[in-house]
Amino acid sequence: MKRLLITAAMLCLFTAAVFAAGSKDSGKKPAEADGAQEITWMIHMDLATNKSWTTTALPALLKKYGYNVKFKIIEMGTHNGTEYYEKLKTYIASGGAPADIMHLAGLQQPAIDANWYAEINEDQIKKNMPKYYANAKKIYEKIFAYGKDAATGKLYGLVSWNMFGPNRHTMVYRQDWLDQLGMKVPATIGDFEQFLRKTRTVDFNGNGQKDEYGYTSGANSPLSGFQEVFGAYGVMPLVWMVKDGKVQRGETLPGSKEALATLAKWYAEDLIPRGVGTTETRRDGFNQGIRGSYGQADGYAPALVKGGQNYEEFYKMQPKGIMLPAPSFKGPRGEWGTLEWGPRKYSVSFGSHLQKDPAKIEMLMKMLETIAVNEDTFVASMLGEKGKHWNFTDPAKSSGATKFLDPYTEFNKRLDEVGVREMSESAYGPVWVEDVYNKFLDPLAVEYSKHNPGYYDALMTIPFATQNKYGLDLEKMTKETYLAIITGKKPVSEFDSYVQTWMKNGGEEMTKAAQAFYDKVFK
Amino acid sequence: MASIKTSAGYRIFSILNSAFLIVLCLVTLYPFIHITSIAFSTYPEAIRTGLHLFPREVDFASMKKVFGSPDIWQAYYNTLWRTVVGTTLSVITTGMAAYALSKKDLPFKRVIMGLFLFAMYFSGGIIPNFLLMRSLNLLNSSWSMVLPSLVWGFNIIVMKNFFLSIPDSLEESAQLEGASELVIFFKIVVPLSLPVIATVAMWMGVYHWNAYFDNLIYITDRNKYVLQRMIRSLIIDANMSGMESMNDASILSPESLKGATILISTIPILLVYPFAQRYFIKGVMIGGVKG
Amino acid sequence: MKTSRSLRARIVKHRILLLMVLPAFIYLLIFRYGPIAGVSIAFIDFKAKIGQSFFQSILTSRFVGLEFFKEFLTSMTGLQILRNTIVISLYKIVIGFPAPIILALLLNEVRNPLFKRVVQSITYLPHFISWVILAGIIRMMLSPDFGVIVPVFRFLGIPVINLLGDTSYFRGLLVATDIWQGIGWGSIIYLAALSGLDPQLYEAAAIDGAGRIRQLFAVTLPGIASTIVIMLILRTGTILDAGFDQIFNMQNAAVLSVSDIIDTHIYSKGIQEARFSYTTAVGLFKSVFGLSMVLLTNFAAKRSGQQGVV
Repeated sequence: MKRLLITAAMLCLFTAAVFAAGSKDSGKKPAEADGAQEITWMIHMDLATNKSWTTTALPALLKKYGYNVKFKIIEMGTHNGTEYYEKLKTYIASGGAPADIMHLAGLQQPAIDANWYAEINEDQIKKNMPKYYANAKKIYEKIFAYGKDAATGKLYGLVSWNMFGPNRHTMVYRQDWLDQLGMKVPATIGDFEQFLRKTRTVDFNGNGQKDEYGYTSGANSPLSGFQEVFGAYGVMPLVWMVKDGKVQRGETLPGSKEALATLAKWYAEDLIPRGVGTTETRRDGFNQGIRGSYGQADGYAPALVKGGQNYEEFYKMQPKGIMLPAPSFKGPRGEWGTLEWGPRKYSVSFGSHLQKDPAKIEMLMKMLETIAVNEDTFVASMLGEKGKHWNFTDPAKSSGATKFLDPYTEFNKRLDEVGVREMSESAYGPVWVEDVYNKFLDPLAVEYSKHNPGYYDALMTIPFATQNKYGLDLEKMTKETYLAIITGKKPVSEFDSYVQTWMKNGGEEMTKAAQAFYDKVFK
Repeated sequence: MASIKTSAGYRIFSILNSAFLIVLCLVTLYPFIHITSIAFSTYPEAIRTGLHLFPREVDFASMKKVFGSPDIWQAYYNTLWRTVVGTTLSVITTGMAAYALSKKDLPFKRVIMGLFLFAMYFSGGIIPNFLLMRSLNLLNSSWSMVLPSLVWGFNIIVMKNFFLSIPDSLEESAQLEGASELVIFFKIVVPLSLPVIATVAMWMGVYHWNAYFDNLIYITDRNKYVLQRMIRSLIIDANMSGMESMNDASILSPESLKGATILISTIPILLVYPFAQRYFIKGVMIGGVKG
Repeated sequence: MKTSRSLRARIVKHRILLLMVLPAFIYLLIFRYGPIAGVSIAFIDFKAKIGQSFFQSILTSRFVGLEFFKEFLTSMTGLQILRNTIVISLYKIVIGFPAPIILALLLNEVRNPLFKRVVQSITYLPHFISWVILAGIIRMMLSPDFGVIVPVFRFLGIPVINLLGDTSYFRGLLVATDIWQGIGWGSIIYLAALSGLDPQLYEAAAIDGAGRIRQLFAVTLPGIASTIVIMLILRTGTILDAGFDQIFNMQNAAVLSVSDIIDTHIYSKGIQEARFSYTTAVGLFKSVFGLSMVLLTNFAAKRSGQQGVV
């Protein structure tokens, strides 16, 4: 036995030493050929690849503005969001080096820990990117909190936002069902309950079954589901809410108990499907013609206009149906709205090797703003080549809604060959200025995106240590308890003991830490 | 086959047995019928609720799209390559090792078996394996699909056990005639071990056919993707968590496309089986001594 | 202990056998034992830094000892997860281990070779559909709103039960569907063993007057006993692998308290924070437990006269 263990240990060390020697990562210097300066990028989901059109077209356009650059992407090799970050984290943990510019879905904690980022400051941004800076501050005064390391408060990232605004989701109803029931869009939660009741009495799809319900929440609905109902009671579970400077978690507030009571009543009276949260899906039922509305999580404004994904899907399935985006209903105190993602979208940072080269960071910042403020570069980075990759939905117009042309309607192909994703998100256009991008938004979608006052996380979902420790377990308990109450397995009175358990198992500690974080960063 | 007395009791048993097996088959067959039906359905028909036995509205578009996609065929080829190469190399190396380890006076036998057993349960994790591939220059190489899974302790144990049940007398007579162990192995033992060889080959084959995680971590080139990875990226996107994904005008591919892709990856297996089964039917064993 | 001279003599005598082991052995060293040093990150707060190799990062990270193990076991759900893992796995072993054996025995009794082949081919199939698909189909079939079970409940006159969303039934559902998926495939090895049994033994038993049932216990089972024992020993080693793919795809928020297992927990923690150290620690815990189980059952098997794995 002893011989065996010693042998094994020696073999381990030997082979480990062999490949340790070969695994050190040497920093690479960007090659400079024909005078052009190479800029390396890492881009979320490889939204553009080294072979994409925009990777060469954009630098060509930038020459006009005085930039002699070449772009090179350090690819992770996948267009799938989850996979991308798995591979990125593996890369970081293996000692990989950062690129010059990193355009990612937020600062990644492993990257922060590995000293990947160059520190920047707001004065620097204001000086080199004045238009972007002014726009960002207008969207949300504290938006740069999203680009800071929660622990040290250092600023590492330029923050981007959604072009349709911090609020951009709305509720969607089957207009033809409302018409058939002789109802208007439900304005209050009482009206909405009426809608649910009446829906159960009509066989809309004529298949002889009472399989229609007015409302549902899916297993794939965000957080705890039923967002608009909670919103009508002034709360949003599983986000941090602030009232009078006090930070609390939505799921522990009394408004949630009220909402649960209403939902439990609806379930008991068979006004919502039996499979809520388990076998139901967010939106499929609506498309299949057996659900009368879908929650705002799915009502993403640009997807609801002609050419948008939800629109196209629905009408393919229900050519005779009519879908109506509309504001959701108000609760007993006049409160309404749903979960929103809030102002921030992605963050753009610079590699720490540039820390000692502030001139280069300046140049890169200026370049990013140049791309955003000039229409030709903006369009190249967001949409591609007009007439070939994209066009206005109404080709006669020169502003408004846009759409991609075949064969670039296919997601992977578009990313691989063109290097763009969609308006409000592409590879080389990480920051924008609204007077440029407003020209390319569908005005109807802009209209829809104003339908919602929005509840969003007061801490912008920035993770901090205590939340990392307890958050997941508490969230699981919350979702399970909520579903048990709604489906009648537990009484509504169970809510109080749930809150106590929540507090005792790290919830209280987490709330205190959240308060401290909020005071430090957002006050 | 020995002659068996067919009592009434046995006949009843036979009938019940057959009935049970038939029900099992029907229940098992349903998901396949379901997927096939969906693969040939129009979009509305594909997501219709209820049983899918035969598409009410037929549409070949998805099947055509899948068969016409060069990406899929490339991934297919990659999967086939790794399955054939990987399985063959595995069976040979594992078989030889298991045979040697079944000989009771092999020097260092206990050490070697112990090392294999230990390695079955302890692994360094993703990062160390990734680094190993990198230092061996195997990143983005097809060999990174085949080498890391070359020999499994499990297979060694199963094969070793089988070899133990082969009577010594067969090998002794060959040894007396001066044959080396290699010759004995390939000429005598292997032909007698077809059931276990086929079993292990099946296990390795299926593993390679379904593998995708190693492909995900080690491969960046799209043209080296394997089939399962392609399928997963088509289907699993909906499971993305995190708020960012909500704004995704995500890749929601039509159900029928998913169905077609799955079908195309399971058909070869359905075709291979009937041929592989003959190796299970008759073991050529004389003596039947318990191992 | 043998003297070194006789050891050398044995090496020379069996040099060809050693050569036959060599390729597998080299593979073992490079691909299994090389990376094993990585297990050490279970005991440190691993933080990678640019330009540092993996090993340098290990040396510069803070040593935390058993902190992650403690964190896991004392977390609100740690013990619950452990309990789920063991309970689900035990159910799967106790019910699921014999199932393929029984199927193999039943198939062995089928006299029509075509029927036998067809049944075999069909029962293997579910093994090839990934749980991503199977879970979707099961969800559809068991949906309390429009699944095929709804008419069944109506017929029985009881309110529809959401099997997928009910903590009392979910584990049973997991075990049943898992067995169904693997029963055909699992029977292969036993069919192979059965096919290796000598028909003469049956004849001898029949001549001695043994009926079918006695033959089963006197000839068949002892004949494949060694296979069964080996498979069982190895199976106990995976007792903490309650079936990630299946559970991950079939789980939903209503049943996490009874179905969250170690691997799904690692996955969700991993997605949140890429905590390599923590996940390695939990993985190590699984490995140690698994290996101990194997050694335990191996010992028990040898004691009762069976071959064992080591």
